[in-house]
Amino acid sequence: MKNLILPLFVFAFTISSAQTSTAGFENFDLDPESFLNGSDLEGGFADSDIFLPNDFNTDFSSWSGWAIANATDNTTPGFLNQYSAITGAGFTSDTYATSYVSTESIVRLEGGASQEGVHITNSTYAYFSMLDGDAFAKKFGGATGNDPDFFLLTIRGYQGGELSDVDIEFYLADFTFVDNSQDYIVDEWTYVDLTSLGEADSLSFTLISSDVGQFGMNTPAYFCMDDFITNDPLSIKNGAEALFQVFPNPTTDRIRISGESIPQLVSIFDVNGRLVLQEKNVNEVNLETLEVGTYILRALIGRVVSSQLVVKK
Amino acid sequence: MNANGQPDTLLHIPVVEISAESIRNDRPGSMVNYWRSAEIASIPVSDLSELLQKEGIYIKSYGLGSLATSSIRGGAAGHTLVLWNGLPVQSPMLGQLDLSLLPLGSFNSVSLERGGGSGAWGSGAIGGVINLENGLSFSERIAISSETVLGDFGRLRQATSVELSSTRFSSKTSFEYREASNDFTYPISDDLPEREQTNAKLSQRLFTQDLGWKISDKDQITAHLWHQNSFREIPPTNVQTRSLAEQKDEATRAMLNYKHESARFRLNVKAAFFDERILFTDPQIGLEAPSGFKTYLAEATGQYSLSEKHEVFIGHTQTITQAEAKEYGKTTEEYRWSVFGMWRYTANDLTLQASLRQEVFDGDFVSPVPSIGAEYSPLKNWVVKGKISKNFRLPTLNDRFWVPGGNPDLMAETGWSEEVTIENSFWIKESFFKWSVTGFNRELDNWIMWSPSESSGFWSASNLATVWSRGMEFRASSSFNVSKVEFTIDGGYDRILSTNEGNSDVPGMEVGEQLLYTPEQLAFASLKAIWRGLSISYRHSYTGEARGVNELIPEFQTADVRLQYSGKAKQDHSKVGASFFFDIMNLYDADYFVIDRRPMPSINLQAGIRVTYNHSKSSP
Repeated sequence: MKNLILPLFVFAFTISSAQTSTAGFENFDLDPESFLNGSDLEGGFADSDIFLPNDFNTDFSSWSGWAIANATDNTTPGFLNQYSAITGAGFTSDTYATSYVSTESIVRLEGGASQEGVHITNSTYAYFSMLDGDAFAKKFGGATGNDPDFFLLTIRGYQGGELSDVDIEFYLADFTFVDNSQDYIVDEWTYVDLTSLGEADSLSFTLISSDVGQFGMNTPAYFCMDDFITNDPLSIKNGAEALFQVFPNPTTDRIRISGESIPQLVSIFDVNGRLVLQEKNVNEVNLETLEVGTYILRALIGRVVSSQLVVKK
Repeated sequence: MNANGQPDTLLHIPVVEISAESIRNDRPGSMVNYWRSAEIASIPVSDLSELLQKEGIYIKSYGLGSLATSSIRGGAAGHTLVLWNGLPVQSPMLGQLDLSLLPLGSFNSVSLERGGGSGAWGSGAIGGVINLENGLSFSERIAISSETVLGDFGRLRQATSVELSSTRFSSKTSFEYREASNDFTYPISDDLPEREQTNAKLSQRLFTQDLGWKISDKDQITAHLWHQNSFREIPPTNVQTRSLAEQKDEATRAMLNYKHESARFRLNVKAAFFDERILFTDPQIGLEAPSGFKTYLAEATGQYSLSEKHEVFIGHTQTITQAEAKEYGKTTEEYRWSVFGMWRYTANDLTLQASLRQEVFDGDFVSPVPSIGAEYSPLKNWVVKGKISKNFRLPTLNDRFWVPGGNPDLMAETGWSEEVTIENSFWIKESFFKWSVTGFNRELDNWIMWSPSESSGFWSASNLATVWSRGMEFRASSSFNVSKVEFTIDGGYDRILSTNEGNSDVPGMEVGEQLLYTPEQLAFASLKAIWRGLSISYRHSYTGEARGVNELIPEFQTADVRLQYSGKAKQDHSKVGASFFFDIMNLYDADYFVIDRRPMPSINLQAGIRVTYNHSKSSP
């Protein structure tokens, strides 16, 4: 038991003492239902501690890498709706980032920041292509519904130009279950913990699909991202205070979150990083349904995410 | 005569007064199939793609009523040149023609020449050349024909033509309408119900008008108008829940042709205008994609007989194309011209012909295209023939100007092809036999392909590949009588290797790998028995395994049967004929694909009636 408790305390200290920043892409001046696709030839988009490179071809007005969008159309399939997220909105705001992955899409970590986590979902284009098929790509499961299809996002770290062996795999769709009722296509923002990637100065995002032909992947190579959370190295050095307090802690059911303002989003993760509870615009959360154990409470306040350990008795 | 040069007692061919074949049309060394309209009417086909398929040509069909293109001798769709009265009609935007949109009722004849023909016909004549001809007769004659076909999957076809002619003037008017719902069912798996094809309706209207004025015994002017519009829904794949896409095609083609023919000299001047529009819409994804082009063509050719043995031929063409598509960004114009010449030597047993062509497009000179062909009969009933030719295909307007991905700097595909054929025919008692075997070889450089670019992510066109095509074609036929029943047997087998000669990651191709949608083996056999007015024909075809974009396409066999009764009544100078026919297609109900994920129809039936009336001052 001692061996388990010690790492938890270290983990708790690290989280509670780290100042985090969140790139939510709200700082881009977008008209309603619009997008930025790099046609300004700036080469990408900077927000908080990250930079999202974009490759725009002026001859063909085409792009790859990243775009910033606030499109809400999550019902129209096809490439004309290529910027839209299937959620119809960002994670906590209207704006989000959409990636068209040519070979790989890169997220550069600026100023020595380290990656903490990111929210991921499908683009509307890819979602409906997998759900219903289109002229080029199959509906997942195939004609019988039994094909073991998948759409996998793989994230790896670059450090000094070297690609790490460590990766995080996130299934945007998974139809590999024997029981077809478990098959799914991600249709909401899902938090992906990036801490296990270790030290990195940029991150690589690649996509693979089970639907591949002679001309490459048939499934549209798009996904969407929002609220990319980084740890600010300066705040860790300074041992910054958490932005809020949680009490009572430990608790048997309810906990209150006190701070200067009510969090826009409160997320509870288990020690394996799985999201077990999420509520918006609350300062009180009921943990009654959770099993006894230690959890990580992550709260978004303003544009900053901060975390604390919570113990359920 | 039927496709194999044998007499066909069912056919009555009207006297067609059109100039004798020029040495451009009838070049030695080529394998040529030739169908007249009456013969086409005796085969259960409704469009050009189905006719070619009966002759063992591989048709890349996306399904009943959907896009169909040909692959001849391992070539791509753009390597088959389609001519209308000798002028190219394939889309300059796509470099190909949808063969499923070519009803055959209005044409007097269709010919298919295999192998390279760029020296005579220009760009695209690499795998083969198809020529659709509207002939006119100059005799005192009235001819009316009408055909109605009803069949499964909502199939309806109505074709009517009226010919009125005198010794000076001639007119032929044709109208054809066809529609189909194409709602066939196809299997998913053993434990699931069959799925019905949806969004697959087709309707098409075609109108042609041919007018001729025989000014004198040496001069004539003809005018030809061909208008058609087609509407078709684009069905979903078998791994797509639904499709709402549809396409409208509209084409107007007009041609004016002056011919002068004297004992030693022939002049042929043509001017043509083509206007074609395509509107593809997919409301499901909010897509509306109009495109179209106008082409202005002018051609003058002259043929002169230097002596009994020597003939020369020269020609010049001018082509201006204006094309519009949203993806071009602006109206795109292309200008081509060419000069070409031929020389033919004819002796008793030997015919020799050489040609040379120079093509220029948008100011760029394509390297000159020579060819030589020969036909020699060393023994009675034996013919050895062959040709060597350089051929080319210019990049299409889409290849050059489509945004994104078009590449204005693309080079023409060029390469040499060689072929040799041995033919033998003979009689054994009252039975006629004929067989031939052809070997061919072709190497084509700068093959234009569209593939995803790793750097930019979008698809772009490039001179990606060198393709080596070679193979053999075997044909055999026989006609004989047993008692009062006349039998005709045809058969063919093609072995085609068409391989990529350079490594490519995208599309995934290794050296020596067979091209996509190019089966190595094709075979067909047919049997026709005729007793008085009653005939039954059976045709069986085999298509070998082919590589598709997504998966291997298994080999398949299909069979068709036609039962037909033809009767006629004759009085004075008039003759009335009627044919009733009943067809069974895909007799063995084979489940098969030509394109992966695009199921083909199950067994289906159709029945029809064809009525003809002929009145002629001479004996009909």
